Amino acid sequence: MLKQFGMLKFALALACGVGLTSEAVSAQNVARGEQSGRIQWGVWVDPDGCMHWMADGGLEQVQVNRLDPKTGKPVCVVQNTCFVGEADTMFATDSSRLTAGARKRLEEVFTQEGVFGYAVYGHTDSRASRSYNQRLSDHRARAVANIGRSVGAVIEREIGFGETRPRASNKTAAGMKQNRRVEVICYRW
Amino acid sequence: MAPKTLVILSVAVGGLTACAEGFEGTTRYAGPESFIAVANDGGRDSSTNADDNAAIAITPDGCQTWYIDDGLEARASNRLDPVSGLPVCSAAAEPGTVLGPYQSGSQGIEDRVPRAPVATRTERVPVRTTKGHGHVVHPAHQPHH
Repeated sequence: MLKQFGMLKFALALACGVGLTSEAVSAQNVARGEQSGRIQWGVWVDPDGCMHWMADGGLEQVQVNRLDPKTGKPVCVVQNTCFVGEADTMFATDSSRLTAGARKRLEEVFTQEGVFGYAVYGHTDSRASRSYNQRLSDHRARAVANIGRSVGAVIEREIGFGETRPRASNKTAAGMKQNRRVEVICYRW
Repeated sequence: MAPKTLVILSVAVGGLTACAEGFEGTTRYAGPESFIAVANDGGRDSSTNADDNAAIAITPDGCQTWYIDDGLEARASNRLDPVSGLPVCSAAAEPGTVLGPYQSGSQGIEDRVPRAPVATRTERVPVRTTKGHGHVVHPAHQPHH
């Protein structure tokens, strides 16, 4: 009976067009480091905006993270996944005290459905000293994260980047305005 | 004789399902407590996957990935340096190539491959900068007061 089943599996395999043996070229005889084939990689972007290299192998698919060769960090599309606030409208100049309007908006951000955690990132422009900017971005990130905590949100991380991650040129007023910001990333289910 | 009739019937209904089940030792999904994947291959190519052979596949960025074809299934992951954690990317290999035998060694069946590359389109998109060091104001693992 067992043997009969074995035969059956074999027949089914052929019916599916998958041979168990083959006299064709084998890719498995090449040495390590020697080319055995090619892959045409495609891109898949996850809901956080981060890229993955994907490939369909005919009977199967694989996927790996797309990592920056220099930094090892994931390569992610610039997109607003949750909230980016202009510091000018959220805080007074050089202050980490939130305006009433910003508080109200942030309470909405931190009470969204389907979000299990938040990350808060503070950024400044490049005026003033690096250490001053680092401190200001830390304090602003904390002020925003604390609004989240006050409405029961889980803050997974809270990081000040100071002036180190500009998203526009610090040579123009408009660029600097864009760089003064607090970003919230939502980790959604 | 009864099992034989049963299997042939299922082939008529869904040949591919029967095919995969014959090979891979699978069953129907039965709700949220179903194991949708397990730590070992339970099909006709069952083995401890611990000894699987991996080829090195080169991404378009020139980075190396571990590529393991296990017959009807495959898996892959980034090759990361054990000290720095950085990806291993080298001009020594051409992007899009696969180096070395890529079947796991316990694949059960000979690999079949796609007929030809597919039509693609290229898009330029702005990506986030990864430069700059952040100062962790408050690590998540510490309670906040």
